[in-house]
Amino acid sequence: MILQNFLLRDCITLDFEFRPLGGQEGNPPEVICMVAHEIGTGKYHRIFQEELYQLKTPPFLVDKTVVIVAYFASAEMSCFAALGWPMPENVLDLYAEFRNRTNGFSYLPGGRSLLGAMKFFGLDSIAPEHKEEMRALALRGAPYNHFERSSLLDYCQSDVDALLPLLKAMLPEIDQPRALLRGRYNIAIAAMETTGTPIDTETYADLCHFWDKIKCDLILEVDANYGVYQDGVFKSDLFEKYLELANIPWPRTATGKLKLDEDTFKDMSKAHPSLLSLRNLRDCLAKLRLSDLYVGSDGRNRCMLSQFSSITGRNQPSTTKFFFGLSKWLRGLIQPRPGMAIAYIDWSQQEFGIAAALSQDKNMLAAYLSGDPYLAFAKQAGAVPQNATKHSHPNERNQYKQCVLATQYGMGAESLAGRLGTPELRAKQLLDMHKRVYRTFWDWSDNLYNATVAFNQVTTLFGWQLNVQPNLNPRSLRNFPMQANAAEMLRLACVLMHEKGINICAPVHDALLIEAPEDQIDKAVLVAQGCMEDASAILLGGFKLASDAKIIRSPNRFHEDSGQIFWDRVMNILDRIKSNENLNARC
Amino acid sequence: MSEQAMVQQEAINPPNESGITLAKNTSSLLSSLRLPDTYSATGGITQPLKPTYGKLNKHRFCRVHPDIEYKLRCLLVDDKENGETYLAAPNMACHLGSLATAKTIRLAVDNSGIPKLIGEPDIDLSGRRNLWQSSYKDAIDQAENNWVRVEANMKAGQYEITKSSNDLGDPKWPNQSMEELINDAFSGRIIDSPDHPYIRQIQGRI
Repeated sequence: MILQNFLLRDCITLDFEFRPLGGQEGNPPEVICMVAHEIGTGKYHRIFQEELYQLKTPPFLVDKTVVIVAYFASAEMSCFAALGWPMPENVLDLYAEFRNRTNGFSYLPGGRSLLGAMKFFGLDSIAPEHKEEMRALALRGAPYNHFERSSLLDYCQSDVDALLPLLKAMLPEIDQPRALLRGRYNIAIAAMETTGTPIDTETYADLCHFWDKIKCDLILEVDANYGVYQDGVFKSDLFEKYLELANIPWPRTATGKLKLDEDTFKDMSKAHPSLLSLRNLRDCLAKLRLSDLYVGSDGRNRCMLSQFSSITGRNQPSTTKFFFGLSKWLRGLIQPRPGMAIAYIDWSQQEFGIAAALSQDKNMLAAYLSGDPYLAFAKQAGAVPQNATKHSHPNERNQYKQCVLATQYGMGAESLAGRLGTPELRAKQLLDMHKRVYRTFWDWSDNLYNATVAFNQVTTLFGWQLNVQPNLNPRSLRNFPMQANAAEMLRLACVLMHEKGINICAPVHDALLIEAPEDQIDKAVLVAQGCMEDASAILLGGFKLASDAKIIRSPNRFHEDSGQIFWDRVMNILDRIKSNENLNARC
Repeated sequence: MSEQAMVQQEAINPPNESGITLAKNTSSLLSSLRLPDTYSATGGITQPLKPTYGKLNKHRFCRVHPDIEYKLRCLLVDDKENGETYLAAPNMACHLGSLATAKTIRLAVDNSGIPKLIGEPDIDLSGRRNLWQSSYKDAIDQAENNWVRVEANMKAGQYEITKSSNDLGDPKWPNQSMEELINDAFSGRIIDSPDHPYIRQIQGRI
């Protein structure tokens, strides 16, 4: 299924030109043309749109004897899907391999694109101006005259021809079987990008249409409890007065001003839940650009998932085009179609579990296996009795939970104290306690850090590597094995789930949103959870991570606990505005 | 073209009947691709912390090593004027007189793993009651088996001993021998010759 040692002659380089169906972003691709080059025989396939849609299978082999080579292969796999072609057995994505090879480099002369990769290896490539011109032509859509067809095919072939020298330059250093696994993940990505997330398009359209009015009402309504906005503008002096009255100590900058960045608001609203509405308001006023979201004509959010784009190898889709990049309260727009259901499945305390399994810290393993690592940590530290539950000791559990999360984020005592709303000393005590209870983990972490900075490289268990630069934050470095192996785990789970026919709508950090007909969703969730468990066992040498699933059946909406209040508030405002509009229309 | 493409699009994710077998094979294949875990490869050896000499930490709970290997009787000289404590060789006693005090050096460690050498006073054979000394000795005795915190109570003229109400786990003892610890703690502060600057100073020699 995966070629262990393939040669150049086994490869077929390939590129498609495409645009979103009907030219609308958010739609699946409409294939315009394809060029493929069988390196072994030297044969080219140059095929334009109509002919491609007539083909039931690709005009070349895609079985286990060949490797399909592309740059950013998920796009090519999406075109395979759009054409209804069987997926290749072996895919090599030179983008993923280039990212892997240069991951951590602070400077790449031409960036991460195909041209950038060519430049990195000192290879000739086509001029970027020509590239833009051809992309515009592809996006314009049919009809194409003879000259345009020929130009598009030539342009497509120029990218295919560029792949051969790039492949030759990269192949000797490519970790072949694991590279093909990364390639296979592109097939799952293509399926997710094709499926997309179902959106309540009517409410979405209303939100877009009335957003300016909603914002005004939202400020009036939310600010009634704070009094920090003046003429629709947040005023820091008014906020300072509010903080004094509410007796909330607030972090300040070196110059003594209130820290008003997003992270500070996030931390402080966790310590002081009364601030949550204000945080949500600021968040949506500052960031929300609803019209940037990619929603297809069938009401599904689809966008590039940008696999392997982060330093840890995680997906990094656009925060404005991808639904899960928006504020959490907006997830209420996610709604399964009639007769369908969706399920949000995430690994339980994934990073903690990975840390426990990799470091083999007995206390940490026991805490994970208890099912509630935060409470178990409090028990191990002797802070609560052994028969404590999360209902009997919610505050203690929360403190120890925040401490665990703080160590995962590499947070210091000051930030943890801010998040807990306690003196810094308490935060220091908790962090010290973590080091004492999980001593084996910390010894492992120290050793890992020393080994990493000695070799200037660290790699996941499936070969995603980081070249360590001198300016890399030591705390990020210590957290790399947890984060990057979590990304590996997600990739493994997606590959397994796709092969079992699970319809994945979107990956969401350490979670997956799946979809199935309402009467099949329970079974689909079981299968998906089994895949996630298998993925963890494969990665962690047999240690299985559990997962939690939340099923949403039509016509219910997907709400995050912390976001529903704000969603309800916005919906009330929207209803009011629409009623007024109707009244005015009647008058 | 567009509609046809859309129809074909919807047909891309048929549930795979043989999916389970396929995924089983995939699982074992994926397992074979896992690289060996090298995170525990030694990248460096952290050198042990060097101890200091002083009193038990009044802010942190401490333990004292109970073993005989970590007890050393010796002479100590407290130079209060310069804030230094010297370790003196036994044959220097005649030069130091009452400035040298016989004590037993003990190894202590606090609950954050920081080692410290402390001086355990001898029992005062003169019969005078010295609550400072006896309470300190008591604290050391207790610290052999319990986590204790010691703080001077000036009004009561003795040390106040607080035993931890929680189990703070096992102490993290340093790996060095007592000799190594003493050499580290008293490096450059050992009086082993009559020409040592301290002896010259107390004898008024230039």
